[in-house]
Amino acid sequence: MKSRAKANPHRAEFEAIYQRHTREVWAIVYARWLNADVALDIMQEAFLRLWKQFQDGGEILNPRAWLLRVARNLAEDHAKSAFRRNGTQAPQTMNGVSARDAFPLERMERDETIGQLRKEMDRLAPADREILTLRYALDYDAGEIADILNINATAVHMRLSRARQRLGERLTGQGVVP
Amino acid sequence: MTTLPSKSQGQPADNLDCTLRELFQAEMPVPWPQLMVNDEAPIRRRSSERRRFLGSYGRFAVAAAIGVMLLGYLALAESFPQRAGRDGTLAPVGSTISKGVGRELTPRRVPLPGGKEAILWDEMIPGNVGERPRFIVNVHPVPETKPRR
Repeated sequence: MKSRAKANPHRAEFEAIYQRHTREVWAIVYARWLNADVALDIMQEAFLRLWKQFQDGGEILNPRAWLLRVARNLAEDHAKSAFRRNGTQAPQTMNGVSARDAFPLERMERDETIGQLRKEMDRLAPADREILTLRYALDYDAGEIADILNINATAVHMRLSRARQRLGERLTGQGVVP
Repeated sequence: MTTLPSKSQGQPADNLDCTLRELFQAEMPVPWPQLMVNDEAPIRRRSSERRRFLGSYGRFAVAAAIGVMLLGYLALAESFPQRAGRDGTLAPVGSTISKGVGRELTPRRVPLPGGKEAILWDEMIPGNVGERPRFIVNVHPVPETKPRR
């Protein structure tokens, strides 16, 4: 069925931006909250605002930077509204291990390791979590990460190496072997 | 400059790298949400704007309900009986209060056991011819007045 309205001339451009950057936006928000559902909500909100900009005829020279900035601001707003609702930071949802069936022992140990890892990641700086998320969720290399975060590739290497080392030490201190 | 560890390299992957990759990739939505947008309406999503609209509409509805209740009370206020005064009398004892044809109240003081007094209203409800008259009796004790020192 043909669309009955005149197509928005920016639609194709918007769809291309969505395909290119949606996962990056999700990753940046996920790094802030370590919550996949919150990241998805905020990612959609950021793209909704971009679409409204297109509909209003606004021109955005760097859509990726614009989206990441909007997503970061929305993530911080989410923090404030969560504080008003809950009186504290919104509870992280990843620390528990939900068992639907009887898991083998190895799977249970693996889940415990991941649970501990998430706890330790929560203690990292948000900037370090961003690098980890872009690296391990999206398999980005140092150059791509540097481009998104507006830092140089050397800094990416150093911070990633430090974050991994810190995580490894803390897990070992907890008696958890990744 | 060391390259980032990658499972595509021929070397055995670091355990922590594997665990991190497993953690992050498990968190990513599968399948990835498709773009849903048309030219008339924005992307479907949970809307906080609709909640804000309903919130203001709800406040308006509450205010309107309170206003209606107040108006109704004021309009019906004439039908509510007045409260008795401090000494329990609605009207001077011996006077008659008319509540319509055939319905008259005559408050009077009556003695109670123990030396106390009460104000009594008795109201006769007219019935059909031949029926025994019925009475409604309200009694209010007269509060004792303490002598001044």
